[in-house]
Amino acid sequence: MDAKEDPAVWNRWYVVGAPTDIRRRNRCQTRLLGRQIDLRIHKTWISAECEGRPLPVTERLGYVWTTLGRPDGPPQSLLEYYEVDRIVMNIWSTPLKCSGLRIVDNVIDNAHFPFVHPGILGDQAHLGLGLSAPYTDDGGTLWSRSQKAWLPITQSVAEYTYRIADPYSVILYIHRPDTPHRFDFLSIFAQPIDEENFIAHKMLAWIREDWMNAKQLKSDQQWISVQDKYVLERHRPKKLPLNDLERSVGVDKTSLAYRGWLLDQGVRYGAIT
Amino acid sequence: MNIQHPLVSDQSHLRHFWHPVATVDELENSNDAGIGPIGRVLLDENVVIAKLDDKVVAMRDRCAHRFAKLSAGKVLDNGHIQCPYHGWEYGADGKCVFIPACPNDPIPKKALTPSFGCEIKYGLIWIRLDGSWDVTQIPYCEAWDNPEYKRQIVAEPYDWESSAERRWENFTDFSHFAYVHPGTLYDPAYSEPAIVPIDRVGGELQFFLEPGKDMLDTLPDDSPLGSWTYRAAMPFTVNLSIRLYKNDQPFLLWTTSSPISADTCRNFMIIAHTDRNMPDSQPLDFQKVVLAEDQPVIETQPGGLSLEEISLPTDKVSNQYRKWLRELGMAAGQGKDAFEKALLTDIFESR
Repeated sequence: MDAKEDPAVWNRWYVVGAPTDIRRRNRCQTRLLGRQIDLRIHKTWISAECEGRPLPVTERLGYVWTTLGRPDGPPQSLLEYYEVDRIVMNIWSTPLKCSGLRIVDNVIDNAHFPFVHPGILGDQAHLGLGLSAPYTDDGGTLWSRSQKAWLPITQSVAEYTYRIADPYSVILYIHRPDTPHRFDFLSIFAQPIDEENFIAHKMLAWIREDWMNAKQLKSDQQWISVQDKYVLERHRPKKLPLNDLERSVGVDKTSLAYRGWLLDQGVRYGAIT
Repeated sequence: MNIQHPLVSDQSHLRHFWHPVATVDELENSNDAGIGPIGRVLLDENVVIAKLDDKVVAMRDRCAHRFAKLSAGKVLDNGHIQCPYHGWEYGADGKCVFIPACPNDPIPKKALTPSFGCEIKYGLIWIRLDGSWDVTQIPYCEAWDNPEYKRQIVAEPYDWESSAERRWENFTDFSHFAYVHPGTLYDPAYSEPAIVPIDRVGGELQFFLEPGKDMLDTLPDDSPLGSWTYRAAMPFTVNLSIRLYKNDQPFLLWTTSSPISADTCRNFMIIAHTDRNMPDSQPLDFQKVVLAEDQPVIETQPGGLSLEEISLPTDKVSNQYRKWLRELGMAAGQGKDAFEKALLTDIFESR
């Protein structure tokens, strides 16, 4: 389908890259929702056009955002990203061969941790930790709070909250036991190339600790993403099925909530409905 | 003032940087001989500056005897600085060389006042309180480097009841132009600033801003509207090199904040331009207007920067500055190598 026919997808902001990467590689083209986007690098900003039409652009959360449609407001915000004691980075912007909806579905699914990331994000001796009920807030954002998972690296239970403000993005809040009101953040902003291809922009914004080494953090996170990429690209179908939710097996509660939320939003692009 | 959750808990690394403390003019006008002594305060340290045997030197402004200020004494013809209380005399290296009350007794080994690194550059007297790591240099100033400039003005320093950090941020803050300087430096219509790439190069934050050219129609003729290239040597200097829209000529605004204490600073400014016929008062008076707009606002801020302050995407320059200040403070705690690496590792966003 043409994305233009899907207002729930068309009228959204999307990341088209990190400005530092775009400048370093002198990248002047990318694709979004089946269309070519021409980027122009200026000294103080990066502009975008589609078939000669200038697109709105803004820089937020370390990325250039643009839209082909008419979004309700600015791109989703995460003010904590700008806290000065954080280490922030784009882990990578990497192409994957499946619907971008699939990666959001994958990220929020804790149940896969022990199997896809054994010894890193979980292990099979610790399955079935507590789940809480996802809900949609007044602004239409889907929240899944306090998902718990066994974290072998720290030998403790880690707690996550997921925020889905856009169909093609998810922000992961990692709870910090020492500072209960602050979180570390990881997020995936999927840039849908078309219905069965996307670029995963993975952002990290963690409170900086003395032991942290930016290069190590980046490579660790890339390694986790490589494992997900391997699995994601082997999913069939490539689009995310929304049409048989009631018969879904092996899909956890958060994932079901996400798929239901996509249906409520009327999302069809990149999905099977 | 105590700040909750300070950005940097230990500021002692600032002693490893060069800071200006006076203009050469100030020393030369201090007395008939033009050799001082004059007293200044840098990072809570009382410093005396004097010209001894034709060399400008700096040392702690405290006689080892009864702690009287040497800056209240005088420079003798023999090239010594003499304490006003009991006449102890000190040489350029800070060692006491004569004690009038016991002229024939040996001079105690502890009879000295520490001397500091002291250099003259850009018509300013620079001091580095701690030269033990020797990884910093006097910040860059373009005024005498660029042959296009026909006139360089070293302004009289001005003191603010504000920290040097706050003054630096004020000078480089894009979002306040439209709010604090409407009609002076900026048009309120341009209230949303660009989020520009920022590089770390050789101990400087470097960035570029291109304000809207339309503002030429509404701003006064003396307003330095143009493309603005910033080279900001850490921690408190800004070399703002402007290419004026009105005539495509360069115009330089250079400033350094010198930290007197955690919440007071002494500010130095150099203006360079290409118009031989322009009276100095013209650009200086314009800057006075700008400063008069800033000062009452900035002085309401507490001196120390706090992690509690809310930062926006458009605060990128200040955020990057704060991150670097914090990294420098933390690295200094680990020693010279870590500090040097934190200061001199280049990071590029613009290319």
